[in-house]
Amino acid sequence: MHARYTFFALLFMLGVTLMAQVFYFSSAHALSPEKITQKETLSGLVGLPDLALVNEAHYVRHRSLSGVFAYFNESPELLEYFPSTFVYRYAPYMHPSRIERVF
Amino acid sequence: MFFKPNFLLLDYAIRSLMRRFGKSFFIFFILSLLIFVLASVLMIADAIKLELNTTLKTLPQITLQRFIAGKQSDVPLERVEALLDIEGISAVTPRVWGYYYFKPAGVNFSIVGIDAYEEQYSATLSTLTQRFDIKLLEKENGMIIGEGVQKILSENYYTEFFNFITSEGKWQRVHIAGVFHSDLALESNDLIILPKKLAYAIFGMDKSKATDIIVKVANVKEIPTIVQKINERYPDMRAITQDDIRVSYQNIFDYKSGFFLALFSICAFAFFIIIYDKTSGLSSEEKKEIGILKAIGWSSDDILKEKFYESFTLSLSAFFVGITCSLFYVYALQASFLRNLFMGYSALKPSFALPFSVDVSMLILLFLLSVPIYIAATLIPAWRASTLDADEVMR
Repeated sequence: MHARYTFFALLFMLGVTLMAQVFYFSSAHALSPEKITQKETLSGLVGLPDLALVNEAHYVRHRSLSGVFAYFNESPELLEYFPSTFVYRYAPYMHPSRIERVF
Repeated sequence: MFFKPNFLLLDYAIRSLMRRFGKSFFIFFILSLLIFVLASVLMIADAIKLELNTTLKTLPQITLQRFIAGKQSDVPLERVEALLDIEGISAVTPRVWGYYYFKPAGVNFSIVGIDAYEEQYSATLSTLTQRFDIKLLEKENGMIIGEGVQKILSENYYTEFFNFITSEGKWQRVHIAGVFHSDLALESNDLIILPKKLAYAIFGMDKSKATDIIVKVANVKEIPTIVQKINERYPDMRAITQDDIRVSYQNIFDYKSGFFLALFSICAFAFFIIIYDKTSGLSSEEKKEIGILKAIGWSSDDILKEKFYESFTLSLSAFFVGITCSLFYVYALQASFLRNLFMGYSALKPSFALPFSVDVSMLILLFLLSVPIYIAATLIPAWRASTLDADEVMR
């Protein structure tokens, strides 16, 4: 028996497991259109940004309640202690966003 | 010239790996573990980013806040009318919202006031909630809460209603009219939605003021100009645009997953240096093997090819095992420990299912960071050994 057959068989099984997982999770765990509509309706109704992941301090979840100097607390580059308060302000002469605008 | 696979050499390479099973397995295990940890962190970040980006476009285009002496303060409602005079603004809505600190549990709830429950609202709300009592809402002293809030309140024996303590020290009893679906936990975990009138009463706010103002713009290309106009008219107002929020989202996850990528690169390079170091000081047994191979007629080229097959099979299988395990860990086991990296420390942790999202470019990056570098780290020392004379190596 050639060793390569065992190797290929194992690799094939691994590949099949990988693909099966991708297919299963993409059908079971993906955001369905109904879920997306639900989420959009809620965030449209409430209008608050960010997820309810962190809420240790007032300014954490909704940076809209942070102070005006909050993002220049330490330095203009390293912003806050909690990463969720990050707001990257671009210079006025630069391109408005380094991320593509999709409206 | 094309690369022709030589299956006999592949056989030899696999058997050679099996001969040194302990060593090969250890390398395979560490490499898979490195790939597994990094792929898991990047997948969790991707899933949360997907969740954020799906709701991004429904957020207000411009949020206006007023600052007095560097602190955010309430906006007078007269400004709403005045803002409508600016060309290009199609709607201006004042909002009342804020935090309510619940002392017994030490958590902050986010309270959002909406205009008295109208029919259109009840239709929308009934699709979002799992327990919905329209009668309670009609009486205008009902609220809709997130799952996390419900959990905290029931731990404190509030199952039907909750007594808010207003700023005047009075009790304001509000009935629980509904609980948001668990699918919405990520967005609604700490939320309490109630009528604006109640929100004013709980916060003790002046009714002629609002927390902030949201502005709708007819043409999105005009947003920067409108922000400029607002700033000229009201220098004490800060405008947060949808674009600012998008950029900040990107920064959060660039920071967290980038931090891990940096850690991974250090671990990976330390690992590859060890491999390089190990293989460059070939053991006498391995040297003997190369000597014998050369003596029976193998060229340096053949030995290099054999080493290539060896490292390629090892690193490729480690890569696949790492990715397979991380998919299982993140989506089947819901990333039980690593997800805490992306969550806070408060008692209001949401329980949520990560939505499936795999970024192909992330997988390619991981592949390029692991497989070719491992191959290079093993091929260079092998090439040095294979150029030696057979007789010199065996002696």
